[in-house]
Order: sequence, then C-alpha cells, then structure tokens
Amino acid sequence: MSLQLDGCLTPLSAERPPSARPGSAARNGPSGAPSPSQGGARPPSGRPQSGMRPGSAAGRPGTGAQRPGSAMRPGTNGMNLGNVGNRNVLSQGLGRTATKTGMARTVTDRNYYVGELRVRIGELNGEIEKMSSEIEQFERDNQSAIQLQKSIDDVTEEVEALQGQLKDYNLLLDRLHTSTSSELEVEQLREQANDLKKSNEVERRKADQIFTERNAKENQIAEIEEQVHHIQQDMERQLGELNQSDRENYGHLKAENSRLITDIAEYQAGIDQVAEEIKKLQNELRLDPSKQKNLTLHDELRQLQKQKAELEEETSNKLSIPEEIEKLTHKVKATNAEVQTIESNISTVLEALNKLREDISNVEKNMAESKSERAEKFRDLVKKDKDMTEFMEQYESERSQLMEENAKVEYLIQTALETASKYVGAEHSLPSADMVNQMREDATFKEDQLTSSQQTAERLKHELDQRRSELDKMANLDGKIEEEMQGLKAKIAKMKEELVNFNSIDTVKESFENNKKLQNQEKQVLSKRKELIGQQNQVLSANNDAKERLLRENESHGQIEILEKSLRHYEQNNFHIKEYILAKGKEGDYKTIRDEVIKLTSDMNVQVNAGFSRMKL
Amino acid sequence: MSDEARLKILLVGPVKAGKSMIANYLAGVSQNLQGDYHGTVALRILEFEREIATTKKQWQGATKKVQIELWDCSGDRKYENGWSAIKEGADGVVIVFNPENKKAENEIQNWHNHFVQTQGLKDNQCMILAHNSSGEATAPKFNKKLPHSLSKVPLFNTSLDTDAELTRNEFDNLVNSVSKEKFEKRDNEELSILGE
Repeated sequence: MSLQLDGCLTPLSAERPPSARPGSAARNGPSGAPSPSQGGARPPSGRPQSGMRPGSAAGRPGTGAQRPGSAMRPGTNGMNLGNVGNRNVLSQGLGRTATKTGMARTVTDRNYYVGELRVRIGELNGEIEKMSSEIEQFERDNQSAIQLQKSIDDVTEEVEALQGQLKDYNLLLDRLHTSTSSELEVEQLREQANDLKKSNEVERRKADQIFTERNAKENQIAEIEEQVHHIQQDMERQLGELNQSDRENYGHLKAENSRLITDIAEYQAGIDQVAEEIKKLQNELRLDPSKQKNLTLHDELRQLQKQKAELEEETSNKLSIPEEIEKLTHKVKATNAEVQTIESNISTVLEALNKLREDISNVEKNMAESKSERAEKFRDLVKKDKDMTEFMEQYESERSQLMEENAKVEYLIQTALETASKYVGAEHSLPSADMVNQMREDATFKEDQLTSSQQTAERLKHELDQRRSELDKMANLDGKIEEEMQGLKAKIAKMKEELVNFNSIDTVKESFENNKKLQNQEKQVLSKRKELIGQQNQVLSANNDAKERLLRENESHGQIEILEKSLRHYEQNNFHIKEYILAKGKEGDYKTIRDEVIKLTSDMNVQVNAGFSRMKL
Repeated sequence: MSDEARLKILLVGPVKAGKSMIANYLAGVSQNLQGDYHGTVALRILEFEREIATTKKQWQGATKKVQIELWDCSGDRKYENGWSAIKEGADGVVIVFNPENKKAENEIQNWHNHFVQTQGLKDNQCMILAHNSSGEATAPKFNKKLPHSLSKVPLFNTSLDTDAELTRNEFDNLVNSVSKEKFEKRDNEELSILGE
C-alpha cells in the first residue's frame, strides 16, 4: 500500500509549492524571483532582507550557480522529479495528500469480493427469472395468437360478405337516386311503352287478318287445283270417249304442238341474236355523226311526206271558196305570228352574236397587243402606275415620318450647336497655366482656411452647446434655489415656533411630571382590576370544566353527536343525489331532439308534397 | 500644303432671305419641289467641291480642288445660343438679305459685326447678296448705300430665277479670295514659326 501511495504522491509533491520551507515562502511570487536551492537547508534568518529583494539575487552569482535553475520555479517542477525526490522534505507532504487518492480502491478484502459476487449472482438469477417469465409469456402469446389468427380469418370472411352486401345496397341506392332525379323520363318511357303496346296490338290484328286471308287464298288455290284436276280427268275421260280417227288426230296435233314449241324456242333464240345485233348497230350509228344526220334527214323527210300527204288530202277534199279563204287566212295569221316570234328570236340571237363578236375582237386585240412591244410598254406603265399609287398612298405617312425624323435631327443639331458654343465661349475665357496654378494654390490655401474655419466653427458650436447646457442648468438652479429657499423659510418658521416652546423648558417639564403622575395612578387602578378579573376567570373556568365533564358523561349527548354526524352525511348524500338527478335530467332532455325531429319531418313533408305536385304536373 | 483644302464659309442673314435656296443651288442639291417654306432649324452644312485657280504665281492657269463646307445658318434669333460655335474657325461669310424688306438693311450691320468683325475676317473674305427670292425680273434693285463700315464689302444684286450664274461666279470669286487669304495666313504662320 505504501508503495502505491508513493507512486501517486510523487507528482503531487512536485506540484506542491515549497511553502513548507519558511525561507522560500517569501520568494514564491509570480515575479519568478530566484530562490537559492539550498534555501530549505539554510536557515533563512541569515539574510532575510536579501531574500526579499529579487534584484539582489543578481548580485550573488555564487549561490545562483549552485542550484539547478528549473527546480527553483514551482510551476515547472514536474520536469525534474528526481531532484525533488531526493529532497528529504518529501515525507512532510505524504501524510496530507494521502486523502486525495480517491480514484483507487481503498479496501482490498476477500469478503468484499464475495459480497460483490453474491450481488452479481443475485442479479443474474433475477435476470434469468425475468427471461424465463418472458419466454412463458411469449409461448402464451403464441397460443393466443394462433387462436386470434383463426378468429381474424373468420372475421375477415364475415367482413367480405358484409362488404359485398354493402356494395349491393350502394348500387340500389344509386339507382334509386338516379330514378328519382329523372322521374319525368320514366313517365315518358312508360307512355312510349303504352303506345308501342297499342301499335303492337294493331299490328298483331293486321297480321291475324292477313293470316286468315292467306288461309282463305290457300283454300281457294286448293279448290282451283282440284277443279284443274277435275278438268284433266274430264279431258282424259272425253279422250277415252273419242273414236279412233279423232284420237289419231289428237296424237298428231300433240306431236305438232311439241314440235312447234321447240321451233318457237329456236326462233326466239334467233330473234334475241338479231336484237343484239340491232343494238350493236344502233350504237355504232349513234357514234357516227353522218349517219345520225342521215337519220334526222330521214325523219324530216318522213314528216314532209306526211305534210305532203295531208296537203294532198286537203286539196282532194274540195271545199267551198269562202271556207277555203277563211282557212287560209287563219293559216296565214298563224304563220305570221310564228314568223314574228321567230324574227324576234333572230334579232335577240343576232344581238348576242354581235356582242360575242365584239368580245372576240376585243380579246383578239388584247392578244395582239400583248404580243407586240406596246404591250410591254403598257405593262411598264401599269407597273409604274402601281408604284405611283403605292407611293401616293404611302406618301403622307412616309412624309410625316421623315418630317419627324428631320425634326429630331434638327433638334439634335440645335442642342449640339448650343453646347458647342458654350464650350467655345468657355475656351475663350480660359485662364493661362500660371493663372491656373496660382488659382490652384489659392484654392488649396482657401480650402485649408475653410477646414480650419470649419473646425473653429465646430468648436464654437460645441462651446455654444456647452454654454447653453450650462445656462439651462443655471436656470434650473434658480428654480431649485428658490424651492430650497422656500423650504428653508418654512423650516425657519417652524423652528421659530418651536423655539418659543423650548424657551419655556420648565413648563414643559412640569406638564410632563403631571402627566407621569396621572399615568401611574391609572396603572395602579388597572392592575388591581386585572387581578380581580383573573380571580373571576379562574372561578368561571372551574365551572365550565365541571359542566363539560357532566356533558361528556351524558350518554344522550354522545348519541346526539352520532346522529348529527349521520344527518350531515345524509344531507351530503342528498345533495349529491340532487346534483346527479339534475345532470341526468339534463341528459334526458329530449325537447331539442323532438324539435329537430319535428322540423325534419315537416321539411320532408314539404318536399314530398312538392314531389307529388310535380308528379301530377 | 495639301491640294485638297477645306474652307468653312458661313451663309448668314435675316430670316426668309433665301439662304437655303442659295445654298442648295451652290451645292447642286435638288430644290424643294413643293415650294412650301420650311425654315432651317439652327444649321445645315452642305459639302461640295469647287475648282479654282491656283494662287501660286508659278502655276498660273492651273486649277485645284477645294472642299467647301457651306454652313447654312438659320436667321432665327432663337438659335442665337449656337452662333458662337458656328462662327468658330470660319474662313468666309456670305450675308444674304431681302432688299424688299426694309428693316433687313439695318440688320446687315449687326450680322457683319457678329460674324465678320469678331472673327477678324477681312472685307474680301465677305460678300453681301441682296437676294431677290420672289422670282420676278421686275423687282427693284438695291441701290441704297450701306453704312460706312460696309462700304468696302462687295455687294451684289442676285436672283436665282433671272441670273443664277452671277451668284455662282461671285461665290467662286469669294472662294478664291478666301482660300488665298487662308493659305497666305497659314504660310505666314509657318514662316513665323520657322523664324523663331
């Protein structure tokens, strides 16, 4: 132990200032005054005065050389422990500093370790128990978890089923909403459906009628077929009745009939061929203009021949002369009218023709001109004309624009001239270099003067401010002085008044003595009274004690007290119950809810009525 | 001395005397076709060339090109602030006035003082034109006597409509004398510098 302590202590002792040494204590200042290394060994009383003076150390080189320099300085002693360790002074520091080694364990006993181990074992056991209990908890939780999982599955299934139901209900609700919003449309659809039903019925009836008609027709057909069958049977019967020649004749005729039928088919085919050829030829004819002309001429010829035939008929029909004349005049008139109309037609046509000719000639002229050189010139002229018109159109705006620009430029010129002439004038009035130098010197001198005068001005201002503040102070002082004067005057007056009293000290003393006497008398009286009252008080308190004892001994009093207590308890209960009743009554107050419900129902009624009225409309 | 010298000639005079017309004519710039009067604002500078006879005696008969800056100044007094810049370094002055305007005669003296005398120009560097801008041939000619100080300044009655050539010839004469004066002055200066 001692070794350990030693190790700890050596540095501590090094840090310790050598205050134990009486000689060096005086020299241990921050000035770093050198103290002799043997200061401890030497009695300091030998030269106490020289030790105090740091300057004298330099005068003693011998002692300074003997000591190791750094050892003297307490601040850096850690550097040379060896030196310090050698010093016999160390033992003095040991005892004191031992208490400072709190960092290391102080007691090293077996019992201590046993105790420590026991504590640790207990802790471990506790921990193990905790963990085992936790494990048990986990197992239990696991079991319950499995159960819960099962119940979760069940619940989720239920939830899904319910969700499906909810979706169905939502769909229903949506449909209901949409249907209520388009009630009118539903009505229309219903009406349409009714109409369609009616028309369907009509159609059905018609179909029924047609069906019955068809049935009737089919019946008729069957009857007619039967009749045909009958007729054929009749014919065969009749043929059977005929004699041989007739029968032969019939056979011949039948054969001829069949032959003719085949012939007809052949001829029909030939006819078809010919018709096709005719079509071809007609097409060709149509495409050929000369043949068409021929056709038209033929038509005309046919018409003329018809006319000729008519005329011949007329000539052959001999009429009377006046009748003839009439007819002819009629004819003439008709033809004249025709002629007139035709002539007017001709004139209009001619006019149109002339116009067209003129147009043609114009166009031809234009064509001719465009070909010639004149056309080029004309084109140039047109171009120039265009340019001119454009120019004329834009002239005004361009002119104004140019004028504006011009004005701007002119203004610039004017300003430039003015500034230029200013500068020219200035050039003439420019001073010479010497003058400038002189002026500059003047300027600097004047600037200096200016600064100095500014400084003085500032200084004066400052002084002025000071004086002003002083003046203010003085003015304030006046007021203060006056106030003080008044206060002092009042004091003087008071003192003077008091002085009168002080002059007659004897009277004051007398009055004081009188007062004293009176007070003493009163005191005596009061002390007497006090004694009396104390006696009375004792008597009364004894009485009171007796009465209290009596009361305590009385049973009914105890009962009454108990009853009073219970009464208080009941009253408290009563109060609580009343409060409870009030609260519950407030809770059970259904009036507001009733009002709301009534309001809602009335609103709904109104809406329902409105809906009904709309439905009716 | 470069052959291409540059002369600054001022064209001054009262308002509406026809300065701009003369300037346009001398510079060969096309006239304003519409003929409506547009007063010159402050200044116009027209640059053109003239061929004049050489001043050197040894090269008599030869011509040389002279660059001319014709400063067509407005006669309006509201541009007076710019005049000192205009007259700076002028080589010649043409004073134009309208003889029909009787007040103008008195103004000529002022113009002469302001642009000629203050610049130290000689009388042969100056020219006065009594300009007839009306275009009528029967317009009266200016016969009055000018003040004494202007008696030596050449005076001409000009008109661009009747006798345009006169204006051009007299201007050429002025250019001649001005250039001569200028170059002599420059020679003298050079000589004086060399002499020092």
